[in-house]
Amino acid sequence: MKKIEDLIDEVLKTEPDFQLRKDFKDRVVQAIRKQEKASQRKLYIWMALGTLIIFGFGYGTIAYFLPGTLDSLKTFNDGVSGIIPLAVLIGLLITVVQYLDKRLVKNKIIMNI
Amino acid sequence: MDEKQLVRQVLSGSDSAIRLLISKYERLVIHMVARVVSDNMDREELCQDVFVKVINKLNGFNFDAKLSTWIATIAYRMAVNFAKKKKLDQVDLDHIEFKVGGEFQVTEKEDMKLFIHGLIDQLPVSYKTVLTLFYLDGFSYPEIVKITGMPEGTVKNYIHRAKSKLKKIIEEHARKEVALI
Repeated sequence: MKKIEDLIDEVLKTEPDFQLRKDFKDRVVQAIRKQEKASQRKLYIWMALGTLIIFGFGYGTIAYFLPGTLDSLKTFNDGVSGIIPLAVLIGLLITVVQYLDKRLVKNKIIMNI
Repeated sequence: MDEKQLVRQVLSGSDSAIRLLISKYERLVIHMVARVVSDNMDREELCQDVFVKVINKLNGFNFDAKLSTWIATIAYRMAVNFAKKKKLDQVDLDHIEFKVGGEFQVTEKEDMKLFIHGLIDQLPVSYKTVLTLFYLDGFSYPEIVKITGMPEGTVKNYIHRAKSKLKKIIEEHARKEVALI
């Protein structure tokens, strides 16, 4: 009966008769890159939405509590030929800072593991 | 390349590091998946899902265990979840009616091995996975505890009960075969 036990052990130690396809690794890499692209797109959409909400909230707060400021901003806007380009520039700056933070700082943290 | 270097390379976005990680641990994932899932397409898909998850979660790996243990944990959980979703495993070991069809000759070792394979395939998922981790992957009891989340007593009990059950069925079947000769 020892023979049966040995045989069971032998079978339990046998590799399953299954091989992954040759392009398996490529498909995993592709799937990961696809996911990364999708999540990056989602991140940019959220960032754009966040920036819009912050500007909207800021504008609303100023308009409600400090209506006089908007008049002076309008004067400033007339003076600097439009505040909107400035707002866009600030928004772009925030996006660039966020991007650099993700690419440089977070990757550096990873490299230090 | 050691584990830390490999993890660092994968996290920095290197495709070749991802490929190396897969080469290093594919057998481990295949063992777990192939024991639980029988369809080759499902196996391939599940293996891919396991590796995608491993790489996505790798920044949460803090080297408090071996990388193989951590990957086996993910593979185990995904395989068990797959089995639950497909309702592959609902019966306890004591309530399984093992199908022992397919004649084999007790004298033929290869026939016996095929017969035992057939029996192992019919074991409940939790038993199959524990046996795989212990016999095929060579994990220790504490490592299996970490992977499966089962108490050590349960792990030992599963291995003992599964082997006893297999032995009992084989002996019964062998006796019948001898009586027929």
